Amino acid sequence: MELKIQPVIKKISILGRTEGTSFQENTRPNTITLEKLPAFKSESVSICSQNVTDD
Amino acid sequence: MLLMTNRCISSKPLDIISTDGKWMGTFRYEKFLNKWFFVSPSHAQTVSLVETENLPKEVIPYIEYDNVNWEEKSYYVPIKVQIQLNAHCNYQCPICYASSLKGKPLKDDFTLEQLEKLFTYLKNWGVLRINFVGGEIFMRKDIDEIFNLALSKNLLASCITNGRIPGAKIEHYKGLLKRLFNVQVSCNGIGKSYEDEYGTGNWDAAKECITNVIASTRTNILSYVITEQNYQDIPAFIQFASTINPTVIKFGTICWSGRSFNDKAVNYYKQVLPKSAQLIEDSRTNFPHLKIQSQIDQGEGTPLWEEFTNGYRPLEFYYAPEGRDGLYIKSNGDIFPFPLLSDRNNLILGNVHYDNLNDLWLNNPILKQIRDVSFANSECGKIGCKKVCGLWGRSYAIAWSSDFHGKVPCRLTNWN
Repeated sequence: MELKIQPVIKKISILGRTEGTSFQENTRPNTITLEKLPAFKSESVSICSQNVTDD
Repeated sequence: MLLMTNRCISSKPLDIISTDGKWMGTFRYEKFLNKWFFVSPSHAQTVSLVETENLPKEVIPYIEYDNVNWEEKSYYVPIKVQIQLNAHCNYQCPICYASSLKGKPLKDDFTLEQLEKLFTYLKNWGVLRINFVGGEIFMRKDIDEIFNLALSKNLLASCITNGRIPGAKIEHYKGLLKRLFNVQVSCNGIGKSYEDEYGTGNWDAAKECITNVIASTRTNILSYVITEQNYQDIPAFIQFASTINPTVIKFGTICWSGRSFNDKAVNYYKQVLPKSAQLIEDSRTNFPHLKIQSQIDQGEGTPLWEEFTNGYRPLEFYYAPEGRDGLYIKSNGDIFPFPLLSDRNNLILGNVHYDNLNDLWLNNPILKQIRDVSFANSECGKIGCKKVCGLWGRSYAIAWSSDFHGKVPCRLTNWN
């Protein structure tokens, strides 16, 4: 069977692991402090069954 | 495609905190939809979609802008990430895509310190949900701390478990389970077929554990992967499910990856799945109060069809979320489009210990190839099929065909 998938970009070695750039960006989310959640108009969709194949 | 234009809304999340310090919800703009997601811990089973013009007035001053216009066929930032906390398990199932083994933890599983940094990154990136998987996650002694860490970042957390460990000590675990917005319990058999699949001799004990976990969770999914050995037990499984009343029952199919790679067989599609589909339909008739979702439903017969025909996202997101709305991170840090493809080294996108997740999400050529596959330009669409089904999912098709545009065997192609 022909393998049409593109070749590996790079194989990551477990050896020599260091703290990577992925973990180092650490800006904080914005936050607002409110007494209660204000009402707003929205449409809702289920998370529980959001994808047919979610595992 | 990234286009640099003026004044686009940023995807940076905005947390709403009560005056006594509790998380009430998070707004996060998604460029692909031109809408905002809103999630909250009190309504965690739904995600709300909000037009910018409908945002609460209190939120408006906090909107941030950038100059990025996103035209790729995916979300600009994933809304969910599935994290494999550990590869080891208390079972050793023949259909396990993760090829999990019984035994001790691997030394390269994430540490608590690494997870804390990872959760922080994901939160600030704009991810809204984290799903924890194993192996069996309750094999980790620090699972309480891991859940608490994720929740402390104001992320929605869920997990997949076989239920055996938390169910056996439910008084210890039920407080923790209640804090998760969803728990999926795997139950791939009933009676003898369960014992054969999981390599255990005690279905009665497993049944009690599963019952305890379902009863101790806010919302849950009881899942059943159909095999040649267990499909005849679907009626008995539904009978069991009706006694414990899960939120959703989900039937899935084998993805021929991991330990099941060498077992793939056309007969599974030709014989087992059609018979299973009939048994599932019969179950719906006999137990109308149960919410039954099945990967082998077709077209408008698919439950929840309205969820992806309401126009908020293309149907490909629903059937093939790989690289479109989420990512999978293996316990050694390797990043994949989806867990079911994580036995394929040629699909490693990078590693969280070395690579920048945002750069990978925006620029990785494997993701671009997966996103460019639509139902219409896939093998399924090309043969004229009009009934998109869960088997169209790219993980399943790639695992079978090794082709991004491929398909699994079906009647329309004479089981080729």
